[in-house]
Amino acid sequence: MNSLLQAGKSWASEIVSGWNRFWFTPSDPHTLALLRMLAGGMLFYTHLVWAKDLIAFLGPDSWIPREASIELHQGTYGWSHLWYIDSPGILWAQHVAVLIVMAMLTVGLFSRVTSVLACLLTISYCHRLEGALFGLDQVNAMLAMYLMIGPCGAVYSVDRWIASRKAGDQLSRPAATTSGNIAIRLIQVHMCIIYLFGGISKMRGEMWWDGTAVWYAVSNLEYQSLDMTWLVHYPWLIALLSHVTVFWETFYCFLVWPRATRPIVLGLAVCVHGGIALFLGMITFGTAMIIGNMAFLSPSLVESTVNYFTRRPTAALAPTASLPTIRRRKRPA
Amino acid sequence: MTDREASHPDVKLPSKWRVIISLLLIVHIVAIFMPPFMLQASGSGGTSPIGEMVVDALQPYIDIAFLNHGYAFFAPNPGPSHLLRARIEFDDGREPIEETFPNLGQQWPRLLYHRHFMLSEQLNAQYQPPQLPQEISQELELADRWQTARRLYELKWRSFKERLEAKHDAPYVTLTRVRHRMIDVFEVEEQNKKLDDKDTFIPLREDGSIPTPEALMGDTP
Repeated sequence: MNSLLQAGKSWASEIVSGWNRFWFTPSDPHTLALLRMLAGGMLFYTHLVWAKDLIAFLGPDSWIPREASIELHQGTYGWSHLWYIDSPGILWAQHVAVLIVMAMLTVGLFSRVTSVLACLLTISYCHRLEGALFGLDQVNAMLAMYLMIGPCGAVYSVDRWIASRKAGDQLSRPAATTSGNIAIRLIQVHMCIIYLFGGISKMRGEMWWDGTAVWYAVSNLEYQSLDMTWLVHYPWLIALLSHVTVFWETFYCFLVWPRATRPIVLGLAVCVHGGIALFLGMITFGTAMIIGNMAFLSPSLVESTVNYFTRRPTAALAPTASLPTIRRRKRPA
Repeated sequence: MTDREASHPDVKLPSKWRVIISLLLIVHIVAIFMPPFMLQASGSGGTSPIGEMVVDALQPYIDIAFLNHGYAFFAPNPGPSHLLRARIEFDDGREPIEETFPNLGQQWPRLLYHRHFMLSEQLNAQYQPPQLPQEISQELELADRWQTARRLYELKWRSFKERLEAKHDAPYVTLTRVRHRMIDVFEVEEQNKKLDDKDTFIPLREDGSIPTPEALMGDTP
């Protein structure tokens, strides 16, 4: 009995330890900062596109006027500041302010404040624009929500550049933080839930089982951005793509964690979402999902990759004198 | 068991904060999980009672944080598209005009086109017949749901109509939902059917009845 109790205690202790390690081990901010730049850019673009037809979507005679939007939300707790704005002038003024906030988030200026504002504004817009939303808005809101939790402007940001100007050589490496880790973990877990139910819901449809689903997706004229009807000559390929999609989505939440399977799962994510972006006309949604998947890149990988690309021009310009070819030329003289 | 024993050496957050944050994380993750779960956890016997209890408790947070999503992309099966065709008539001598959205020629960039596509898709998804369906007339809860859904559908329908009336300064706008049906592999390979063939666009009637053969031969939008 005692040994059973001990085994139970040991098991519980391991669970607690694993939980703490997963959520509360401080992590470097590089992955979160990369996501800030990319997701911030997507938020900026999304709101820029609203601006192209702002009054048609938010004005007094919009597709879904604010009174209708309020009524659509009756019985829910959703709220939008746009329910109280009717004047086109004020709508435009606040929308320009929103675009400035999104741009500031993207470049990492006053990131702590702009990340919170970006999240609140994104969700507020979503509540107002119910009826014109799709997966992109869900992913935008998700990323905005988690960016505000961690120090997303600690690197690759104007904030960091300002700090380095002030501190000079004394600026230390940005600290690893628990909040940064929690933000990344939440994106990872959220992505797993999205894919799990994406897979489960597909498993209830017969087209994903008889292998024709991908055909009906790519042959949908309203979605299609590239003609994929040539696939009709390769039914085996249509079936393969259909089956791989379902199994990949369903088992993503299990296979993305082990290091051995992670590259395969993330590689498939790039293929599937790249395909959605290129062939199904949803460039923004496909890109946003790839950005979400980047939460699984380690901060050290992000840092070394960014360093590789940002230092290359400097290396090419500055140390030419040390290149062997130049030395060789000087010797005969 | 001390804090140090319970955690990784790198974990520096005091245990009090770890407990508080852990509870918040659990609530948040359950709030993400429940909406798509409830979309699946339903059948002829209704929806899962335990699921309903949890969702009821978390509904305010789910709504405020915009977490009420099913994540059922192209599921359970990819379906046909739904467009909206509008006939706009004037009383000042101008010729009537017809427009259909979404329209790639009018809405650019692609994201703006997709917004219009979602307007017509989601209007169609909310469609409810104008009369209470016979099969649910005895079930009060279902009848209530029909009433609410129908009211919201009519609200959107009216909004779209008023939007087009205001845009064109026109007194009469007639809307028609149009289904662009899916074409199977056989039709393309054996019958050489094109994705935009006229007979693949089916005008839908607002009374919910099956379209007539003439209506099935609708114009290309």
